[in-house]
Amino acid sequence: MTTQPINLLSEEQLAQISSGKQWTFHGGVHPQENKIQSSGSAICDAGIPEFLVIGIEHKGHSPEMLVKVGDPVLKGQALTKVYGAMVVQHASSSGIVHAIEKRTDLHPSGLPVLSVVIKTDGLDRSIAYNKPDNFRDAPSVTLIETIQHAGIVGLGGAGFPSHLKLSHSDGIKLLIINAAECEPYITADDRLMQEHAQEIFQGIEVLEHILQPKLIVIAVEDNKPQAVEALQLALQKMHLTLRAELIIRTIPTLYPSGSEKQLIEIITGRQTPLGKHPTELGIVMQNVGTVFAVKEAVVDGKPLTSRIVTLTGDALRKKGNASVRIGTPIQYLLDKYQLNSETAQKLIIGGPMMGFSISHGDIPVTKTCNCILAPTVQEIPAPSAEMSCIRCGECAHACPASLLPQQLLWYSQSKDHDKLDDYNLSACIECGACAFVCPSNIPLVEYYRVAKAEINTAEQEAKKAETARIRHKNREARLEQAKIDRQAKHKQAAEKRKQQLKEKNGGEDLIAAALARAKAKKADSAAGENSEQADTPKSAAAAAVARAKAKKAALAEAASESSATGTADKPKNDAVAAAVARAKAKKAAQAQQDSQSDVAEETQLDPKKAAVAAAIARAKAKKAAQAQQDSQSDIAEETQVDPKKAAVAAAVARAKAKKAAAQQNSETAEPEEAPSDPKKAAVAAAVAKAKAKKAASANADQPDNSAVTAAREKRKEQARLHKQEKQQLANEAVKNSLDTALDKNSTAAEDRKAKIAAAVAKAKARQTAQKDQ
Amino acid sequence: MIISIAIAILTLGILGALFGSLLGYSSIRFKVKEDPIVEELDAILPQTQCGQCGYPGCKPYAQAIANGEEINKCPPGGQAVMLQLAERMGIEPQALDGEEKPKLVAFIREDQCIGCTKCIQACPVDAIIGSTRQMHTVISDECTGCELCVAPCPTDCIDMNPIALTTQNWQWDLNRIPTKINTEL
Repeated sequence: MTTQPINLLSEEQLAQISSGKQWTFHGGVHPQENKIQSSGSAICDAGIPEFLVIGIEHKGHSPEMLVKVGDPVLKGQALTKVYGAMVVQHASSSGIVHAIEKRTDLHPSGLPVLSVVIKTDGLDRSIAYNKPDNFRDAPSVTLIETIQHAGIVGLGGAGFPSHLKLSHSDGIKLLIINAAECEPYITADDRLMQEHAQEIFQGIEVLEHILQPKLIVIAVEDNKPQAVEALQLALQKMHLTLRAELIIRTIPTLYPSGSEKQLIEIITGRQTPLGKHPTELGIVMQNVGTVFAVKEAVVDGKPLTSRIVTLTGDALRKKGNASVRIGTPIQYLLDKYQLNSETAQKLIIGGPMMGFSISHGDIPVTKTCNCILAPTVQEIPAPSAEMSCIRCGECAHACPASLLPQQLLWYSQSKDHDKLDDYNLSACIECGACAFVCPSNIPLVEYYRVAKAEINTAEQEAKKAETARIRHKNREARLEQAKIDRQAKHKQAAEKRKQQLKEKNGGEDLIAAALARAKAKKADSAAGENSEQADTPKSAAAAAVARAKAKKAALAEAASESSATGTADKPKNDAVAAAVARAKAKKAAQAQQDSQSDVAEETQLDPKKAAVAAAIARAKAKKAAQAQQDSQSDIAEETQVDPKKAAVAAAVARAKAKKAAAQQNSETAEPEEAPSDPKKAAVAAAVAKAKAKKAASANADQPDNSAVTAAREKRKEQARLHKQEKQQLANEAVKNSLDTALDKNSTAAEDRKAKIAAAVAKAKARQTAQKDQ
Repeated sequence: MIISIAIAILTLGILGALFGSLLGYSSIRFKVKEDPIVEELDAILPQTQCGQCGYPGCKPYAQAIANGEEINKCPPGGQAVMLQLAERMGIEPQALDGEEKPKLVAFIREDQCIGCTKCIQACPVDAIIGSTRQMHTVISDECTGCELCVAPCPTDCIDMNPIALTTQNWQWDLNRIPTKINTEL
């Protein structure tokens, strides 16, 4: 005894239950029952509608399909595979899969879910049911799997998958068969018990085999005497081989005694703690309809393809219970039961206490639909106007969960989620007893439903935000790590290079050697200063400046002639430029020499040095000019081939060159604009342009700067004009490419190419636009 | 006289040293490494990491708020977050700087994706998968709707869609059904 978990029912409690002791729950109400209208007539077959709509989506998850549109299906054929904890859905009659699409679900939201639409053939041919061997020989795991594959969910109203309830079979002491059916109007379970008592007991045998409880209680409200009688008769007739004790318990009629937690309290006197599951008390509860379905699945091998639905309400001429195929449109049933439709006909799915209304009849019956109520206005009048809470406390008296509905109402209205949690809103079973007794006609349950949905959303969002936070953090960490790794790699590579260099030079560090040399030189010159004139280093510097100037001048000369209007006599111009550069260099060297002439007597070395420098400058200028010439000869060739195209290419390149050195080596080919060797020309022109710019800015104080500036201005203007043109071209290219992409006839490869081209063109256009700014 | 003064000085000196060392020890022993308010503010923020506040993520903005930044710079969080921040910081609520928009989720029109990976690099929560020249796709459950992937896309193939209404996120409205029926009384 002491080794048992404290929550489990004890042997004494079980003994008390079997001895006939009953408890009751807090509150509860007595709404008008209205069961006689439908309880008198036998269950009939609702027939086969033209179309069956079977919803296969559950909580946003769609299982894998086993059928496709156009497939013939037979009754009982599985439409979906097992997906997680979801049950399999079956075709409920034979026919052809007409469509697999989103159809309105039997849900208060009226939102569509993915459904299989079957066009029935009226033959109702079923698959060959494969009758299993004696279930008593099968392990419970196999039976639970069979139940999942048979698509059985709780038929009492919530639709909780039955195999999940049954899979927690450890330490189950008590199995309660819920046949209370406390909701007004509904008589589906009542009729089922009257007509199928034996099958129900067979189902109980299966459940007993799976769960191995010590006690089984069938709980029936005392307003169903015929059902109790039928059960007792069947029990006498059958020779059940149950190890557990079986009791048929008649409980007083009190709404909501059919609610799981309330019924447990009535039968056992124990309250299920908040947030705990009845299995933790050693209790499993199954609806009597579910038990019947379990029998069909396990004993007969038939999956759940139909359920008993109560059709009632004064707006229906015929009333009663029908065995309805899952997926039958409600309108079909209303027609069959001769709905005398009034204006603004109300349709309630489920009972009047807990059900929800639907706006039209084009919604299919699902496994959880136990009643379709079509009341007249006299029967269920339109709700009276809501008034303020007078704090009478009736709701708190009526609440079967012992909650404080007033407080919950206030906090629901003020959306105070913390307070709602303090007052255990989650324990509310939405039975509607509080709203039923409210003298101010406050639809309390609706407020709670809204608040529950809001809390749920807030929780989901908080969860999502937390996930996002963690993912962002991980990403940041990853990027940081990547950066560190990269730096380490670069450092390593640099070290390696250094090492290699060292090895190449016979273990001598060139840089260190160079530094040492430089130092030595400095020291030398410092020492030399004592004996020589201070002009020596100065003159060397002057020579260097002259060299640089000569070079720049040469470049400037060369570049100033590299405009788009370049003609075939370029080489000549370049030669002239080179000559000018040489002349300048010479002049500079001469000037240098002149400046040095006063010190020539003292140091004969200096003029020589300057001459050497000048010679170097000349050589360099020549070289630069030659390079220039080379690059321009390309353009010249281009010009001869197609002057216009080359000019375009050059202009494009100029635009590029504005980005200066950074863009010099970029691949700036413009495939649409310059088809014949445009890349080379563009690159060459870009280099030329960059050089020209550099030279121009460097030569700003040179006498010939006005010409250069003018040339630059001109080029700038041309480039600007051309950029606009280019942008237009690019935009057109984008448009064309998109058009091409949209062209359905073009092949996939072309599509892709065009898209890439469009993307490139777009990026370029964007870049150009940025440059313009 | 002198003795009593000496005793007073000595006593106060000892007390001072005692409490000083106690405080010094506590400041080391109970040192709070990070300002806990930053964590709290970060928890309030919606974690879209969208940068609309001008900071590179929600945490930096939380840090900035703790240092006196305005609390109205989070349009994804909207009025609700602003009010929570105001309450936590103990300051007056401010009018939201920006427009509150419904929650969005990114969607890549996959036939137009050229596989450039630009959106993958932009996504602050790694909610886009794909590789070079392969089609990319958004993990919609992880997408925060920050829109940072939209601008870099060279083919403009990313849409920001409102989150679809399903039976999971549907909210009850007060189109109530009758819960009052004729009683026996």
